[in-house]
Amino acid sequence: MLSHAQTPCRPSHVTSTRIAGIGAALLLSGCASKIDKLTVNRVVARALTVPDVDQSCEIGVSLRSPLAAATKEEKPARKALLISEATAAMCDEVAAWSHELDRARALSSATGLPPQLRAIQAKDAGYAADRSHQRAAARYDRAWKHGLVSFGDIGEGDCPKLKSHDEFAYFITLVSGTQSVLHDSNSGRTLDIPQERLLKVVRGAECLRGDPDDDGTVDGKKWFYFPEAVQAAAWATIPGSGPEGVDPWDVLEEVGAKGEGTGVRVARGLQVTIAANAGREDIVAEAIVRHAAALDAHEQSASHALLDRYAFLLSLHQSDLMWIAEEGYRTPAFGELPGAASAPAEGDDPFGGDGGGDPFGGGGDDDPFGGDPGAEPTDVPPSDPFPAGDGPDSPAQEP
Amino acid sequence: MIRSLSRAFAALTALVGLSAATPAQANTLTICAYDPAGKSGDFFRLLGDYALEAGSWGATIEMKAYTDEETAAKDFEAGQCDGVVATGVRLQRFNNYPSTMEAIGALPTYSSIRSMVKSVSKYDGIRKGMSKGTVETVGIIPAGAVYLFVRDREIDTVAELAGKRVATMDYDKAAPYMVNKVGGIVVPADLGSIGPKFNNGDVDICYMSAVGYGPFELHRGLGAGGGVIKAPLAQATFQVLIHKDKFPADFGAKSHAYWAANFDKALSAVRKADAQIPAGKWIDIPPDRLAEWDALFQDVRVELKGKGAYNGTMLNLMKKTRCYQDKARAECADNRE
Repeated sequence: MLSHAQTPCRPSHVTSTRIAGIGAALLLSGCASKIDKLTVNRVVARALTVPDVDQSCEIGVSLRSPLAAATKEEKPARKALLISEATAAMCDEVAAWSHELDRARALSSATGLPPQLRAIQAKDAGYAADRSHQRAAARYDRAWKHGLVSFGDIGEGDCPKLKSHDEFAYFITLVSGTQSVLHDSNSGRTLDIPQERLLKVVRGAECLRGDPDDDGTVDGKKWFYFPEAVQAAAWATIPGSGPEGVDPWDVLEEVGAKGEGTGVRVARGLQVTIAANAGREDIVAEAIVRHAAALDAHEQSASHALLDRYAFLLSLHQSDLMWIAEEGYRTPAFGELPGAASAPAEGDDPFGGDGGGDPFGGGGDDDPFGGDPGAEPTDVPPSDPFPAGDGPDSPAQEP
Repeated sequence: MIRSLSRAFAALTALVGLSAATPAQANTLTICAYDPAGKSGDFFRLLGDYALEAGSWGATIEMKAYTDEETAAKDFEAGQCDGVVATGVRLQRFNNYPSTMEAIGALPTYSSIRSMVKSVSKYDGIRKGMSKGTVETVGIIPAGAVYLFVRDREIDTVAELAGKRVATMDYDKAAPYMVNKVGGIVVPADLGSIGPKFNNGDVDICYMSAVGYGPFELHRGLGAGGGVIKAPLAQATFQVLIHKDKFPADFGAKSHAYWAANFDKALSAVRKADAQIPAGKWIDIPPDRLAEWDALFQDVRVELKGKGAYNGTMLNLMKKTRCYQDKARAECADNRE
């Protein structure tokens, strides 16, 4: 099923490249499949152990052109390139987050800007965020398209036969497909990336589920339950796209919890992001607290520390947006929620025991501030919309 | 270094802003805003710009995203939000005057809905009906023409609807009425099931704006032999409804003026969605057959007016708009609406 050509390489320069360094190797080997393998098995494998998103994204930015130049234009090292594009997109993603925080700060009532300044600052930050989202979308889109050439039409037909070193590239292709759609939406659909791509990812994610530990359970544990999480994320986003009777929010919570044990909490980060997009603040708050607790409870994966750090940043960003909206500043300590600190801790209230009655007498019935009368719309028919001279016979002209 | 300088500048700006702003601080008003795609949706973005503009009208607005519009409407009813944004049909229970703008066949072109939105903004008399009791509709935003998607492109006349299974939204009173009238079979559906029912062949026909074409993968249901009838069944709208006592007195007029001025900006998202339907999938209806559809639509409107589902005054306004734009329409000589 794999559509990429497995062309034999000319005698390679691997020995010299080992001496000269990975970058030179990529440039000199001249063979797409070798570069793909070297990138995944060496560069990526090493980068994944370092929980530093900034560093990895900068490598992605820097390597893209050398990788493209190292092979013939018609036979590029697509898997290496897709990883390079996807990691480069993370730089834009981080920049977009920063602009989004600026926008939230301008809008925060805690900041207290006057309306005009508030609007100007929010617009400027919003436009800056749009640009970063657009570039992230473009890079993720290129990554997705390299993936399609490498693995066939993902989400249509059978799964590609994935060799062990292909799986990571396939995984990143799915991440890129999802992210390209989300970032394009956040940029104002400047690239018009088709939203149905999300459903292709959903079907393609099935190919990463398996039973590698022979415990009789077919699942996405090997990939930190990302396959299940991305499926549920799409089901939560597109009504009717999921199986009947399955609540996608329940699935996201379940796989978020399962993923914590792997030390790579991407399912949790995705849950937080999708819930925030849907305005499910209750889920966002709970998931952030759980994500924070999991950081203490489960050690970060040594082999995939970078992915865990990325997942942490996803949740941290939503936490920052909540804090800035309410308090005007970003998260002081991950896992704390705004407003929670000012609430009395359990056991602090000496009068809150049996029944919670007011020790100074008030029964509650005479609360002058209780019982908002509510606002039912009354059934008054609309008045005649045609008072004399209002010109009902001449609707507004076309502009 | 540059970053720390910019932070210092931002802090200084904030301080200056704070000192100037404190006396004018108003309570933040919350609008529960439905967009099926949530915060990243096209319409939620438009609402973000609107909220910023509203600051200059004396209303500090926070948009709260909802991906389920009934929940948004219920939260509005329960007083958890000061305003709500949802489709016209969903807000029909509050006031059927603005929701009637989505009446079957009433606004056949984007030009006609644009004209109506501008008229609402321009004429106090037309805008008056937007208030009912304690609530007021303060914005009409185009959400796209609603088209009939058919699995067999031979179905392009009214007579051919007879015996066909049509997925109809469970909260929509008008479409089931029309389907029954033409001898079709009503298959109740909701936003979650309408796509799968069409794609799996459980129904022969569904209706939706083009915005749903991609996300619901309706190309699967269309297959090789299906198509999209290029005669809008209705114009879907997002409408902004507020508890009017929470907002400044002239908020409605300013808000309608905003949406009239930004109509084409909103429409551009809709046009992008329309353009996603491949050219070969559109089914053009010749003028004589279009007249048949128009006659059916008019019958349904008049009958549903009689049942109280549609507002007669709004139907009359929309008829005037249609006839203003095309005086040759057969209906312009009658007084049924």
